Amino acid sequence: MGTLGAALNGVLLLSAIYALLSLGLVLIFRATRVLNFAAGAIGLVGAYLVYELSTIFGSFYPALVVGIVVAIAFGALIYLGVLSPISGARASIGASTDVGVVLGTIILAELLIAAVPFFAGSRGRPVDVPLPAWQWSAGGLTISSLQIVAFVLMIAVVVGVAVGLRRSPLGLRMRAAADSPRLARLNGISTREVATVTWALSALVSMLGVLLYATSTDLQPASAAGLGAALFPALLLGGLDSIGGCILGSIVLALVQSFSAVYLGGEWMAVSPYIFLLLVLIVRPQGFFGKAEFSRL
Amino acid sequence: MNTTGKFGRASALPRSLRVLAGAAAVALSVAACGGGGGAASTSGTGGVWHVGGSMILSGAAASYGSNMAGGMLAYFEDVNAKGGVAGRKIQLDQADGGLVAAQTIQSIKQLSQQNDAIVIGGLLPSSAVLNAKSAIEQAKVPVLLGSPVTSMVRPAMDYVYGGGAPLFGDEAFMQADFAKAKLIQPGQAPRVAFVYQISAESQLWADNIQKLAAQNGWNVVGVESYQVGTTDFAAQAAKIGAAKPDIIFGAFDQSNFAFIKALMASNVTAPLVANQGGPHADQMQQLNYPALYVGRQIVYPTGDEPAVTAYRDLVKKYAPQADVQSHITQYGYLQAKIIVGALQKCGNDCTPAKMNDTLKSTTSIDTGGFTFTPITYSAQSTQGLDSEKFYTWDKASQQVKLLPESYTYKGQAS
Repeated sequence: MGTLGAALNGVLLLSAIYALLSLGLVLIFRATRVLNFAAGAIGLVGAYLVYELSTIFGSFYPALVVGIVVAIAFGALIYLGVLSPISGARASIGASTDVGVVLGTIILAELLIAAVPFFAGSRGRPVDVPLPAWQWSAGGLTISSLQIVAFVLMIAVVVGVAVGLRRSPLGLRMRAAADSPRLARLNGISTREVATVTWALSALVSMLGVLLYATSTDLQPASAAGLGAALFPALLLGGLDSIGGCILGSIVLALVQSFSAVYLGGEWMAVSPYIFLLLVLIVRPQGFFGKAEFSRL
Repeated sequence: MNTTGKFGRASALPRSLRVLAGAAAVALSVAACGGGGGAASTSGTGGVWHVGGSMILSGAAASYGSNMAGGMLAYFEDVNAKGGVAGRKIQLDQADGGLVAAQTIQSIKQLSQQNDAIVIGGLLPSSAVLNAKSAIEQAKVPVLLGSPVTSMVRPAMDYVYGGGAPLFGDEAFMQADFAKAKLIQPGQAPRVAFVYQISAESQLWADNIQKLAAQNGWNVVGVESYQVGTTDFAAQAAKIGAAKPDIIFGAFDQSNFAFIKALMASNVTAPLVANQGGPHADQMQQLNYPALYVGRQIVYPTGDEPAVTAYRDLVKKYAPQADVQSHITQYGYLQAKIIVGALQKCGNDCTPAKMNDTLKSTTSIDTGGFTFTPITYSAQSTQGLDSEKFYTWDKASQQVKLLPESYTYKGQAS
C-alpha cells in the first residue's frame, strides 16, 4: 500500500501542471495548426514576473492579478510582433502547417530561456502560494491544500475554455478559423485577431502551469523549458486538437511518470512516457481523442 | 484562378525568412550573453591567453554553464583589470560541452584546435568527461574537471586535474564518518535511505554507501536515483517517506532543493546528510528542513572572510547573471584562481605542455580561505581536495552553522 500510495503521490499537482501547459498548446494548434515549442518558455516569463512582483508587493495574489494581465498582453504581443510577420510560409510552400511559425516558436523558446537568466540571474526562485496549511496522509499518499487547489484550478480553467469555445462568438470564430482559415476570412472573420486572442489565452494558461510547477520545486529557466518538452507525450496521447484529450493525456503522463519512478526507478521517468506513447500510437495512431484524418492518394 | 500564385509566394517567402533570420540572430546573441559569453578584450601588447571553457550551455542543466562561466569570468576580468598575466589579458572561449560525451568531445577538440586554449576548464558532467578521456589525451591541453572522475585523477592521468567538486565516491566515506560521529549511537543499526543523481561518479558514491552500510550493519530501506533535469520528485520522495528511514544520505545536483521540498511535502523529517551538491546557504533557510547537513570543501559564500567577500564582489561586478550562492559559480571561480596561479608560474612563453608541467609540479595552492584546505596535486592524485566540513541549518536560531570537525578521505577502498 505504501508503494502504491507513493506512486500516486503528487499526481494531482503534476496532472494539473501538464494539463494547463497542454491546454495552451492545444488552443494554438486548434486555431492555427501550429505546434508551439515555446509554451514552457512563455509561461516562464509570466511566472518570473509574478515572482518579482510578489517580492515588490510583499503579497502573492496582487502580483498574480497583474501577472495575468501582463501574460495576456505578452502572448498577444508575441504573436503580433514576432510570429505574425513570420506567418505566410504555410501558404508559400504549401505546407499543411505553418512551418515558419513553428520554427519561430523554437527560436523564441531559446531566446526567452536565455533572456530570463540574462536579465534576472540564474538563481532559482522559490514560489510559495499562501494557502491554508491542510494535508491528509495515508499509506505513502499525501494530499495537500495546494494539490487540491491546483487540480480544481486546472479543471475550472479547462471547463471555462471549453465552454467559451463552444458557446461564445469568439469561440465560434476560433473554430471557424481552425477549420478553414480561407473560408473564415471570406466570411469576414479576422484570422489574425483570432490567432492573437489564442496566443494571449495560451500565454495565460502556460503561466499558470509554470507557476504551479514552481510551487513544487523552484523557478529555473532550464527546468521550465524541460517541462515544455515533456508535454508532447500528453498531447500526442490525447490528440493534438482535443481539449478533453489533453486533460486525459496529462493525467496519464503524470501517472506513467510516477509509477515508473517508483516501480522501475528514476532512470525510467523520462523515457517511460515515450514508451507508453509508442504503444498507444501503434494501437490508436490519432491518440485517445484526436480526429482521424484521411488523405486521398 | 489562383490568387496566391507564383508572384504572391515569391514576395511572401523572403519577408518571412528575413524575420526568421532576424529573430534567430537576436536569439543567438542573447543566448551567448546568457551563457556568460562575454570575453576579455583581445587588446594588449602581448596578445591574450586563451582559456577554454567546456560548459553546459544548453538543455536542462544550462544554468550550470552560465554559473560556471560567471565564476570564471568574475576572476579573469578582475585579473585583466589589473593588467592581466605577464602583460597579457585572459580570454575565456566557451564551447557547449552539454551533458553527453559527443558534445563534450567536440567542445574539447574545438577549444584545443581552433581556439588554441592553453588550458580548458569547466567540464562538469562526469559521465561525459569519462567518455571523452581519449579526446583529452589527444588534445594534450591540461584540463580542470569541475566534477573530477576518480579513474582519471587517482592515479593521476596526464593533463587531468581536479578543480571544483570533490570526488563523489570519497564523499560517501566523509558523509558516513560524519553520520557515525554525530547522528548514530554506537551499536545502533539505523534504517538508512539514499538518493543520488545518475552519473558515473555518483554511481560510485551509491556503491560506496551500500558497502559502508553493509560494513556498519545499517539497514538500507530505500534507494532512489534520478536523471539530471527531472521535473518531479513527489513519488520518489513519498517512497522514501514510506520506508521510514532514520537517516537519509544524498548525492545531489541542482535538483536538491526540489527533492528536499518533496520530502518535506511527504512529512519526512529524518536527518539528511547531503554532499557538496546539496542546498546552498540561502536554500537551507528557504527549506527550513529540521535536520539538514551539507558536506562542503568550498566555504559557503556568506561570511566576511576576505576570500569570500572578494568572490561576492567580483561576481556581482563582472557576472551579475550568475548565482553567487551556487557551488557551481564557486567552482568556476576556483578554477580561474588555479589557472591564473599556474599561468603566473608558467611564464610568458607558456604553452599547453609547459602549463601541464607547471600544474604537475604544483603541490599546493592556497585559496586564501575560499576552500577549507589548500588544493593539492601529487603524482598519485590530482583530485585537488579531499576533506570536508559540514554546514547545518539550526532551525531554533534560524541560522546556517559550520560545524568545526573536518572529515578526510583516508584512502578507504572505493
